[in-house]
Amino acid sequence: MIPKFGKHFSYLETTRLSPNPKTLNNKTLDTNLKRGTLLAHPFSNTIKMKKKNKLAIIGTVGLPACYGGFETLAEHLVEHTAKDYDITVYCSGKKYPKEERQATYKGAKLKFLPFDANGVQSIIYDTLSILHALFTADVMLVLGVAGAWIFPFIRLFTNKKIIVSIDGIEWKRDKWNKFAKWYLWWAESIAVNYSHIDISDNESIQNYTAQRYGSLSQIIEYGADHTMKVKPTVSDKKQYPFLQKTYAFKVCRIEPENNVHVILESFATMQKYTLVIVGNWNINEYGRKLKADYADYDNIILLDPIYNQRQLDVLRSNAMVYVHGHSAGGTNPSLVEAMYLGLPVIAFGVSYNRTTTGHRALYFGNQEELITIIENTSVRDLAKLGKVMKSIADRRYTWEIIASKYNYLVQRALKSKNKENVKSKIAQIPNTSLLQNKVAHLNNQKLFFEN
Amino acid sequence: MENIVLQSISTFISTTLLTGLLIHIYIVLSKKIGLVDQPGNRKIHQQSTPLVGGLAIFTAFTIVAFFHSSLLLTILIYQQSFIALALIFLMSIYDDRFDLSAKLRLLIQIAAAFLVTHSGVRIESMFGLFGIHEIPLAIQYIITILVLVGSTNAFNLIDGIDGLAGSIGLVTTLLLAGIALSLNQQRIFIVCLTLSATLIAFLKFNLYPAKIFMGDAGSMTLGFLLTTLSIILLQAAMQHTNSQSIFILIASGLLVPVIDALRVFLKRFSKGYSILAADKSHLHHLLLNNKKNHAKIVFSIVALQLALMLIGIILSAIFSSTLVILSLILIQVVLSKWLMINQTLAEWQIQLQQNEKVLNS
Repeated sequence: MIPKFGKHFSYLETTRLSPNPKTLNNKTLDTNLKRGTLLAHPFSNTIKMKKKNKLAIIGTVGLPACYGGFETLAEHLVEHTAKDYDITVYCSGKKYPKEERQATYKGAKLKFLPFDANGVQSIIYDTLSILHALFTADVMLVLGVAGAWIFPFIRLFTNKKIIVSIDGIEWKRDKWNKFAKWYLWWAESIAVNYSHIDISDNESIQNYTAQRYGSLSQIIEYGADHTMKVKPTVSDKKQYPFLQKTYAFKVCRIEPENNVHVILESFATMQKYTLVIVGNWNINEYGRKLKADYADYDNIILLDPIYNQRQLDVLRSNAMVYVHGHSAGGTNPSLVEAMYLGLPVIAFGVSYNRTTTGHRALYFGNQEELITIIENTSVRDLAKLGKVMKSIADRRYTWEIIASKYNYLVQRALKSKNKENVKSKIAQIPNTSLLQNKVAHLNNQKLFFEN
Repeated sequence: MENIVLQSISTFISTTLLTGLLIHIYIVLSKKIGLVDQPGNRKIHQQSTPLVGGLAIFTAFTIVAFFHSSLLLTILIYQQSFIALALIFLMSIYDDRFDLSAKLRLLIQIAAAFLVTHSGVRIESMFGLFGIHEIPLAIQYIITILVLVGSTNAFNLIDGIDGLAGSIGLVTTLLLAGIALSLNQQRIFIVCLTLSATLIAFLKFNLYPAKIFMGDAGSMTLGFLLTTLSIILLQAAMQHTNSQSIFILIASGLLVPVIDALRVFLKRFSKGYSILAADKSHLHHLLLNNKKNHAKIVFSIVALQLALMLIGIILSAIFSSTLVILSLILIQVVLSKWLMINQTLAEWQIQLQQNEKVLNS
């Protein structure tokens, strides 16, 4: 008995990875072109020139990257895929004064807008970038949900493809006021429902979007191979005397959600272990208070922000262990970079950090647990842990892999129409049809995010 | 003049005392016949509470009517309306004790509403809403029945917190009393006066923590009576020069329960649930998430009702009826939406905390 489901499918898809017949044809075209043979296509007499698709990257502060994770991502994306696409990157004129602006960067065109890329101006910044990109791109990669309100109109009136990257779960961050939270909450729903593909940077966020929207997010993390192990020179050792000792290292924004106070308190009770934290202590009251409170401890060294990549790498790569206190935000670039440098990681035991480190690092939930871990882990165990972290990072966190994933998504966005539902196609069929065909048990699947 | 004032005051006080006495009697009786509300399901109260409020209010009303000649005359004049009222009352008492199906209840409500409409108590004009003034007879019937049934059920739905339905009813009754006085409708004034006296006595027992509930008997009958009185007053107001303002005032008094019910129905329908499905999305439920103090919640909702009445009067001097009513509805919907978004965000925050918590490895 063949189940009569035909009326529920517009076309039959065998597996998720099966190639679309249309793409197969294009591949044959391209390979023939590469071999230089003339195409005897029955429907055209001309040689098809290989045209590059146009990609726009929207929502970052700009290139060259000197701000944060999204900007580094944009830079490496451009580096790896400029040969495949005509890329336009939209930059914030506020952070790049006129004299320093470049027209192109590593093969991508740069366009400058006179607005801030972050904060409340990001809404206008993203919106105008998207509107301009309608003329310069076929696919838009939008980083952040500020301009998401315009997506329904873009889908309705144009045939441009939208890939949106949700930057963590923004609306729950305590740094936003009530109205900002409402807007971000609503904008996130528009972004996920009206984009062609949405990207989360962590499995836990994929679970969240599956729960809230019933659609499947793609997971792409960050790369870390722009950092490198640096051997300290004599002048480095003079500037930072702790380089001669073993020390724990942390670099982050000084915010309560990064648990800086927990880590500082733990190390304050362990005089024989040195802790070095690099961050912007003066940006808020929390940071200033911590800097004042812990200034007198010999084993705690609090440094101001370091923007020089080499300088930061010198401090990072020579540490004994990396302590990561983030409790929000998906995959944190700082953690990923620490893993790539082969540092053993002691991370706050939230689900995001566990998935980033492949559940193989050491995890703490509070001050006591952190102290227990530090006092009871041997140097040999730490060295082994560092090797494990490095192997995970080599496998998952190199820019080549990340860029190729983005490349795949852009190609997919160009071809596909609808987003995948969390349930399989069979389970989406109405229950009455399933019952008629005696396969209603298919409706009781446990979904991947349900425990 | 003095006579009338003295008479009103004495009626008021005696009604209040009588209602209080009846409540005491009924509390004792209720446990014997099982007219109690057991806690459970989504209910908010923790102990079983006698459902005698409605019974007390309307038996007190009837007893006072026998001793008050003017009140008796009013009941005889509008006898079909009061027969319909009695029908609703008996039906809902039966429903409180032994449940009735929703369809049967609806049928009886429509029959009662038809009785009222047929006897001449109809909404005969839209007072400029959407530009319409006089309406044809058939439409009068339809609209009146719709308003009566809808409003009765809306009052039933707001009876979810100690003192809420009683307070909203009291404010509306006093409003109608004031309007009746200004329109020279002495008889309606006395009805409203007596009703407000019974409600005040009832609220003494019903405010948090509540010792009795009004039940379906109370809320449905109250809603039906208030709507009928409003329609009678609207009919009286048609010849008045300020008819539009009076219409807006009466409408804004009844707006809070009705718009709340409609909003909840719309939300359930858009989500795909049945509109009679039970969920906690009424205005008092949304406020219950923020503050647990029932008295404060009742105060907030009554304040909303009074604010809407005030804004309605002020705006009606400048704008047309349609705009005023629409803006009042908008204000209430925006406020409810604000509360609902906060509730949704809080729920998702909890869900996320659960997601993030992983077993210690």
